[in-house]
Amino acid sequence: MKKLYKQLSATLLTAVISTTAMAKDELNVAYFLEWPSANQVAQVEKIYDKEMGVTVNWRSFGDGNAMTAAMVSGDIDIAYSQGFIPFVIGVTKGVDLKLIGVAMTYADNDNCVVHKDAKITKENAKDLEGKKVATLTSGVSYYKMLKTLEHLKVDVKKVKVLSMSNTDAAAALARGDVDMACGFGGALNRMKEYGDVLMTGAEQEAIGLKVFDIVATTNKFAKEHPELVTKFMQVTEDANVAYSKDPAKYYKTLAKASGMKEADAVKTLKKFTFLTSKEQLSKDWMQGGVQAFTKEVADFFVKQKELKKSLSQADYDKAIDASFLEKVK
Amino acid sequence: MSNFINKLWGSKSKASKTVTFGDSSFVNAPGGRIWTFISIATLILLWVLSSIFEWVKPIYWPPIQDVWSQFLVISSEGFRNSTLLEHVAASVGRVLAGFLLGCLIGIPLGFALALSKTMNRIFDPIVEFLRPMPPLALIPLVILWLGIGESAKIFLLFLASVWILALAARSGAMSTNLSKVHAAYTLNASKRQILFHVILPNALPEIFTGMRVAIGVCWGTVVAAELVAAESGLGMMVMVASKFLSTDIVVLGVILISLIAYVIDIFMRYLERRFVPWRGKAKH
Repeated sequence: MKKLYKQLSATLLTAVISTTAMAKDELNVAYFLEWPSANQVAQVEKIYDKEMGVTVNWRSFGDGNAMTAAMVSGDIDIAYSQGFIPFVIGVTKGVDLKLIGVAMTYADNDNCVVHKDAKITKENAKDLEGKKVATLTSGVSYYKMLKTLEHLKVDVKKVKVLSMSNTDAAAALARGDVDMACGFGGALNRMKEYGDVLMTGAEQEAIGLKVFDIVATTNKFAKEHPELVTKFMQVTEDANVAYSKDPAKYYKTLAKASGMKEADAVKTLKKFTFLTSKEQLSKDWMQGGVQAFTKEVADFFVKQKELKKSLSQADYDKAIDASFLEKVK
Repeated sequence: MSNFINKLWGSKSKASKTVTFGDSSFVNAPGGRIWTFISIATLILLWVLSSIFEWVKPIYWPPIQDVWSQFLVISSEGFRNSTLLEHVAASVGRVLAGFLLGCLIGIPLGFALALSKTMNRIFDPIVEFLRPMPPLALIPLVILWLGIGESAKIFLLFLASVWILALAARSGAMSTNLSKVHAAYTLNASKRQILFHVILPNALPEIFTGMRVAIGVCWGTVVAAELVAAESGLGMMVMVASKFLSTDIVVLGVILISLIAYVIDIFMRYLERRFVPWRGKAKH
């Protein structure tokens, strides 16, 4: 018994020490499961660890706002593939976040699916008024839903929006408890087994509805460890380039890393575009496009009364920092 | 006047007591409320001061005026198409329904565990197996079983309370002094009479403790239970607001939940005094 106590107290002590001593021999990166990205090859093969000279811990999250919260507390240093919407919300609320890159773009990997039995398409979308819709009411899915419904002239106030996690929303649609569910990744694949998308990704892009995930960090971390941030972006870039040359070679590794069946992972991967650093540094993206879009999204949420007020364009410009990406070769 | 002062400060005369430490009868006795007042006033004062001098960033803890203005806005305009009163009513209804169901099943189950050997052997492993399971881990399963309506949420709250109540009832029933049971039998009492006039009164103090713990846990669980696709409810309000990092709404919701839980607890204490006046005074 005494021995057990000793062991217990020793474990407790190390736990306390390891959380307080923050000498950077460890790096904590947030990511999503069922969301395969090209850089996960480097994650699995520990290339990040080798190149950066620190132990990289990958922590999976269920939604991007939780990533923001973990970055606020200092437990997460870099969030890879955080949704753009949680980032906008965080910055607008005064969180010390920094957007340092665009992880991937996707329109078809985040969408709203109408249940077969509901018999609603974009022609009679107005029938959604009074119906139940399940979604994570804070992320990219929610933003896309609001924008899509606005475009189809549906009064969102009359739609019963149920706040559910991504995977729960898929379960609710499967049971037929809701008429529409909006989600992403593996959950979206499951949703599609029970119905069809309201608008296709291409149709949504045609009306100017952009969706992408970002790479985020905190100002504090970027200031203290700029070299780690740059190296992280370099390894990611290398992985993206390698993947784009021969995607099929990496399917198996990526499926395993993302916790998906290979067929599902391939389905999701094919709808992703991983931008090269050159593309990211163009006018469309980090030299103006993302900045303007940040303000646009924040203003939209103010109009929807989800946010009280938005910041000025200059404040949003400050939260977007391409300097690390510029150092990537 | 002296009566009022006594109530506020607590009686100074200790002549009637032989001991002052170890006698906890003051818990349910009036008097000494000044200390409650001081502790609450200090906390509120600290909050007001920190709001005025901006000691903490609003993202970590909101200033008091923000919470107040949210209270006014949500009371009149509502949050996500429901007013504050509707949110409160929805959550209170769910908590009470889950809790009462828990009592209805848990208390008889606890008695069965304590009073019947067969029942004990049948149900003991089940109770012990299910008891440590966090109801929140079951959310995805509960959605598949019961859907996303009220029944799913009430079921989660039921799960949160039933084991606490079963254990409280069991330990209450087991604490009955056997000589009392024997005495009742010598007076020709029936099994039914033993149950209702000997065991139940003896178990009541522990059942009340269990009920107070259970309703507290229910309030803790309702926030998560309303993650299961709620359209209204304080828990849903807190969850959705926290996604938008609206700490003022989160704090407002937390304060309301605590206040309601406190009012319910005061009511339970009243019931306890009414039905178990002998608590702490009985000789075993």
